[in-house]
Amino acid sequence: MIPMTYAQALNDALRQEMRRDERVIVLGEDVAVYGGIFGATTGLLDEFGPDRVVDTPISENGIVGAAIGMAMSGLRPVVEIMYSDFLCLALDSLANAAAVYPFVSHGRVTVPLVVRTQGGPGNSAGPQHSKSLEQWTAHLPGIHTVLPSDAADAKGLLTAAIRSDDPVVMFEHKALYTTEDLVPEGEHLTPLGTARVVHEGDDVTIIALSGMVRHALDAAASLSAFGVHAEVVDVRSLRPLDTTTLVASARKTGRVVVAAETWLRYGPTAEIAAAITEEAFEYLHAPVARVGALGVPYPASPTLESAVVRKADDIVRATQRVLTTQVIRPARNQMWDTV
Amino acid sequence: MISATGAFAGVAPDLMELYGRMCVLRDLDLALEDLRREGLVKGPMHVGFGQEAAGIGATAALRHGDITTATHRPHAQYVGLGLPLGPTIAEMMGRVDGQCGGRGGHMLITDPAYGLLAPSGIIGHSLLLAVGHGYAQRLAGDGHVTLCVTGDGAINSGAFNEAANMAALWQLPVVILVENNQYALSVRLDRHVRETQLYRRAAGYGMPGVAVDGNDVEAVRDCVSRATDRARDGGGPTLVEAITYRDAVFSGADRGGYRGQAEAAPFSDPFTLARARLIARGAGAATVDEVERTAHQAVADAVAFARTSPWPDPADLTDIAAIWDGKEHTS
Repeated sequence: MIPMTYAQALNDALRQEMRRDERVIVLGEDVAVYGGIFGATTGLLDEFGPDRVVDTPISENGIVGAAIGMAMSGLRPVVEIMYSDFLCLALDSLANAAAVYPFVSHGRVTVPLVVRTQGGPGNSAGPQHSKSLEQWTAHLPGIHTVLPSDAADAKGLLTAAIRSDDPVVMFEHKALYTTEDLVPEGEHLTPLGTARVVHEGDDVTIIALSGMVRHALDAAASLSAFGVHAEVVDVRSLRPLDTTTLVASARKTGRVVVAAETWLRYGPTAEIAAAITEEAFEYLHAPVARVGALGVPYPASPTLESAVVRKADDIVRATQRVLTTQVIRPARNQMWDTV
Repeated sequence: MISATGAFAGVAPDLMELYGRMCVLRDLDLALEDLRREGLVKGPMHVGFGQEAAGIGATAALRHGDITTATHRPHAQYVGLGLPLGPTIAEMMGRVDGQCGGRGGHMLITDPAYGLLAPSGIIGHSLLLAVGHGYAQRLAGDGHVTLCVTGDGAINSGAFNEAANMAALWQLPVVILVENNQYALSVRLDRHVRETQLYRRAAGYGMPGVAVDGNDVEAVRDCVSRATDRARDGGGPTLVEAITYRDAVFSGADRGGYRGQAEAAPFSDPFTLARARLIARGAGAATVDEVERTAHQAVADAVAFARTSPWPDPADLTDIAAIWDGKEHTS
């Protein structure tokens, strides 16, 4: 394990996979000469040359659509879409092509495509450069949606994504690129479709994803001062959703808070809360609580933005709410007797 | 990756062969209209009456191992690439013997064995996918090309601009065939573009553009062949505008009422043109009649096959959904 920033970990994964498999190519806006606006592709052009590290025109749907064609033709393209807000322009190719051809061809055609993009508020970047839109691609069966919350998973999930024969969209987080963690050296894969318990506890479960995982860990640290042992689970993969891990933790603690940076309505917190209610209802002592952004476009002013986004304090308050609720219900056999 | 197919004989097919393919295509579309009226083909159905020569002529320029992308009106590519007709009709009827087991339908037959990667019901997709195929072909350096079939309607999509630029920028071995059938659904060409000579757009992207009589199957074959030769030699993309006329409804749901009475008149009938040329070159009428009968019989046999094809079993959809919904974790 060596210390690396999230951006360096991504770079490490790309470099290793490009050395391992010459079919892997990187393309996107400003990824070659400039090395990507967050530096994730730094130095790749020098090592792998302009055929495999490609600066593209500003043509988001064209880039992703072309990459789907490349993938259908046997390459393994890794696309960078600079902001997840810009991924809106490429949703057509993802929804109508990447998710479709492997299905209609019964797997005779595969689309081993990776789209890396990044979201998350917190930079006063305004309404068009701050959104977290992971729920849009997570709605699409046939496409993996993954969100690394630290440098080790940035490397592990990207490596697994590149080796997957399915299309994968990876939402990175703009506030995490410079954060440093210990990262395994050499080959490191984080299986797609798996959640991870990042902090164990028995009293309450905090389920979080992407940049919200750090806020959840901060919240758990605050709660421990009150003697509350919170378990923090990092979702990591929105589709497929690892309900096994999420539900196991919900059953263990009986109290659940689901936190995401994106908007509350129709987002991942709703899907996860529904899954837990379906699978762990009889273990719950309180309704599942949710934490998410106010339902307005992200404003540019730091003051206004901080009023919209949710952080550790909000998670702590939601946790206190579920800890002070106790559902009283009859024993299971009595419930059945009344049917 | 691409396996052998009967459609690629190694030499460009002659007019008699092309005429036979056009007859198959017309009979296929006639049969599909009947099947639609009978309720055996559901959903939109985009037939290609009037523009048979453009599509059939273009695929005649391809070789084994080339790739084709196509539009929501892809039957000419199915026939031109030599897809077996029985499974093709079965796919359109949603039956298990279709190339996609009924999952794709008439607009989405995806078959790597024929380099058909792929048609799409989304206007502009054929252009985007073609850029990717062309990029992979250029890297492989094996002389293969991509035929990108698109239309006058798609030329106004953002995808056209993005793809045409990338194809020219990276000098990809792609031939963009614009089937200009004069209509974007109900909107006539001069009502959706100011510059109706669509091939002239190519210059703005730095690639050659050429117009050809899309109803003359030999002219299309030869024009597209020059473009594919150029692409195989590393000369980059070409835009070929095949000028034709959609002498058909847009789809089965077309209510009509948007065409002028005599507007089809200036366009030569692709069948009359090809047949007259065959006769003039000495082919006997009986020989040409036999080509027509053979085509008709092939389609009739294929329809009979498709009619008896069973429905697909939906059980495997549950298995696929279990992967993506994660239900194997929960149930």
